[in-house]
Amino acid sequence: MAGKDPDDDIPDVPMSEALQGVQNAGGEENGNEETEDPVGTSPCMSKGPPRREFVSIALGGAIVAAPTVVGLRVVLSPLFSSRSGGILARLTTLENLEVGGVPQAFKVIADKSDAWTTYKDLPLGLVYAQRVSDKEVVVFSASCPHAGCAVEYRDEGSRGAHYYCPCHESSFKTDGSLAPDNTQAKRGLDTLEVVEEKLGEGEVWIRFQKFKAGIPEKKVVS
Amino acid sequence: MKNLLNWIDDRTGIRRITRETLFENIPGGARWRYVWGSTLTFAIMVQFITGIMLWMFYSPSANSAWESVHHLQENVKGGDWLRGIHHWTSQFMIVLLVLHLVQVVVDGAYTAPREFNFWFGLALLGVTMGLGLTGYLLPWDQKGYWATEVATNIVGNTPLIGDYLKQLLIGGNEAGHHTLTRFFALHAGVLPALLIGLIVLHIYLFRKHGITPAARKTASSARHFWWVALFTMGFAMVMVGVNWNAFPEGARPMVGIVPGIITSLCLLRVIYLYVRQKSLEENDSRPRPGDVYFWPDQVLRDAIACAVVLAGILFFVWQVGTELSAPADPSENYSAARPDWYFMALFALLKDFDLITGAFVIPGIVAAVVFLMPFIGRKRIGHMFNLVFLVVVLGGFVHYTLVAFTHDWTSAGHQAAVGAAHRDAARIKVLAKSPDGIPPEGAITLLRNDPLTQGPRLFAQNCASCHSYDGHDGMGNPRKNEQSAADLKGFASREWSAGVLDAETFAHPDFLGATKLIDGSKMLKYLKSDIFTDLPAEEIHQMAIALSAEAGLKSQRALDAADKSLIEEGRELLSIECTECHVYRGEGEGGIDLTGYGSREWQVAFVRDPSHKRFYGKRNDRMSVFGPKYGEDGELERPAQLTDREIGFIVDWLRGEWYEPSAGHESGDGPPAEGSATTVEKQEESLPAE
Repeated sequence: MAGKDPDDDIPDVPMSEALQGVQNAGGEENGNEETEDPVGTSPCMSKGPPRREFVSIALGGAIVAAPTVVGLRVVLSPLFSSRSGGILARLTTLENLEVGGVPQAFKVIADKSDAWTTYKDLPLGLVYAQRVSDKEVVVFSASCPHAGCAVEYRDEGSRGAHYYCPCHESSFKTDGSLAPDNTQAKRGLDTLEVVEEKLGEGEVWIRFQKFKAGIPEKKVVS
Repeated sequence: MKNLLNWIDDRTGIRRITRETLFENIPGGARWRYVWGSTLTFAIMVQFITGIMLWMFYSPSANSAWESVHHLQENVKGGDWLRGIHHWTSQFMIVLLVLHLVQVVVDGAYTAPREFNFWFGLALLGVTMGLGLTGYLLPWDQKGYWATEVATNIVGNTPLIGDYLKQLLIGGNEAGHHTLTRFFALHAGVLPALLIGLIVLHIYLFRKHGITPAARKTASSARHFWWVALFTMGFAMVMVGVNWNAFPEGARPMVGIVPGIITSLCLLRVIYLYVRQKSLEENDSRPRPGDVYFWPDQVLRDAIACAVVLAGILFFVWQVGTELSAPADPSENYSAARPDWYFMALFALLKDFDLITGAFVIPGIVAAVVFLMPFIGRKRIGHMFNLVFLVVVLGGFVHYTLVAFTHDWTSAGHQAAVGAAHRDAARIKVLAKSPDGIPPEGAITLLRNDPLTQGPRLFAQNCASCHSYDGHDGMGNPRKNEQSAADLKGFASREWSAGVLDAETFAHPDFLGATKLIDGSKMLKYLKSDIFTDLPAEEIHQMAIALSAEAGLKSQRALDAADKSLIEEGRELLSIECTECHVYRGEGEGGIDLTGYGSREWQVAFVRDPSHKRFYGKRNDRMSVFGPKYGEDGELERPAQLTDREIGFIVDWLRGEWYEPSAGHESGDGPPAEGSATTVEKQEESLPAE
């Protein structure tokens, strides 16, 4: 150890005191009482000028800080990433949805970039689309607003038609609002924006987005 | 040799270190209850070694993680064992850590001066759970993806900093490449480094303070202990018995045999203690056994304990194996999403409590109380409180874990979801082994391009409101409404064409009976007319197989080749009998085109536009024009409902055209699979021999 070497030049006092402390603790623990601590008599004890101490600390801080700051800026970069604002995706034609029919599940398939890859036709998520009137389509994200599992559309004899999450049993009415027997979700299913313009052309396009789970408000996260 | 040792010792002090390691003082002699620390150290060593080995095969990115794990597991010899050992050792580590914690609390080994060591131990438990959570995602399969989706959403709900924490954890706003790179960095870098640091501190402090001497073992204390053990196990057996029907059949031998063996061992021990009571009590009057060194008595016990742990791990790897579900797909309705078993209690807690209470407040309070145990336990009453608290927490843990598993085992919906997940997992393994293998875009494309996977889904969504497939909706689910068009299973097969050439079956709802087409059908009139009924049965058969041969079905290739001459005759009969109303091989006009009837091209064209004059023309009942629809003037009226690719999936599936391995029978035969495809292959193979 450096502290034991009399030739070693460690001028700053607090440092050598600290070393001495460590040395003593080690000595006690090992039970090597007979080895007298040589540090006390070593030239290390001589006081150096306070300027050197300051420079050492400043320099030490700087050499640690520089790579840390650069590294942190990179590691924290997700905090500064901008939101995509949603991805436009085509689901189907309007004609394919029956007016007043049962909700249909659709995969959202669109082009998407993820870090270094740009995908063609990547499956992004699942939605339920229902044509409520001639020119009106309601689209729900299948991502459960409680914790993010995929909700199912169920139509069971006694319970009737509803959406159900197989994870924590959140349940929703067919209009997406919270069902009376729901215990977990704090808001209804998230509706996704249907592109009006495309609807006029007979096509169902949506803006696919994700929303924060677990809270009563619908807050966009992607 | 000795000189060499001296030379090394002079420079390193290795003798002293070895001596201190092996000749640690163990007050009161070696005991079985001191083995936990060693078994844990052993388990951690196993994890480090197997982990680094797995690292050599793993590639963290969204389109290579699953693929690399699959490759290791399926194609690298021993890879499944390597992954299995790493997986199951982590499960054992959790159990051992909890047992170790229980033992420390029971023995009161957390009181001064050992507080810090207790906290380091708790931190180790936390780090290990973090390793479990991050490791669960790394294969990037459905199971890991959906569990992590929930876990990171919970992280996102952390009070105040949740949003930032989640972004940092998943490396952006959504799960993707950077979620994997970050989880991998945590799993293989940050957390193991923490683990090493904590273990060093833990062992250093442990050596500094020495073992907490347990109360001396006497004959009566041993009897006391084993009676408690026996009653606990007996109680557990009763609980298992009461819930017997809740366990799935596959798990019953395990839940029956394992506690059974432990209970019988406890019983044998109690009997032994009473039989040998006299001599054991004599032992008690002898002076307290002296201290021993760690080596060799305690080391032997530790080694035996480690061997038992290893045997347990290997047993699970061998019997249960390590699951790899289908590649992560956020567009798949994965209803079987569950975390690893030790998080199942927390998972179930979220059904009874809201997110903040269940995921933060309750675990937070438990953690805080456990953290404060060294202070609470200073007085005897406090120690009793700690014991009761621990029992309540563990009881709650077991209760919620059982509630969660019992729910899943008894829920038909969950079982169906697990079944579907296993089917996809099995199918993708078959596809990955096909000659085309896994493309650079990743294995997710395999299922997306697989007619056996996509065909039935598209059928259920687009066709099943009128058509059936073998009586169900294509996915094996019962129909939601009355069937109002043909059952398309085996369309264009010999059975189908024989059915078309029979007045009774032709008018059956499984053929055209439920459609408007049957009203005033010229075909039905023909089938009932003398012209047809006077034909010899043999000729009708020849016509049927000739018509079916137009389709060129994979399942009939061998039959068609064998009946070549019959089919030739049938074709001539078709030209004579049918061309008055149908087009066939360049002859005739109107009606449904019988040339290439049921072939891929024919079926795709049909689905694209059944109202085309080649098919039903204006007589088309309700069948949608699935391709692009054009007006009278040739202008595009509306774009296609289904792309040609999607129509192709349905057609290929109906025609039985999907990849099957030629030799294996391990294919996932989903509800839509007929199981005929493998027999076809066999027929094909046997053909040249004929």
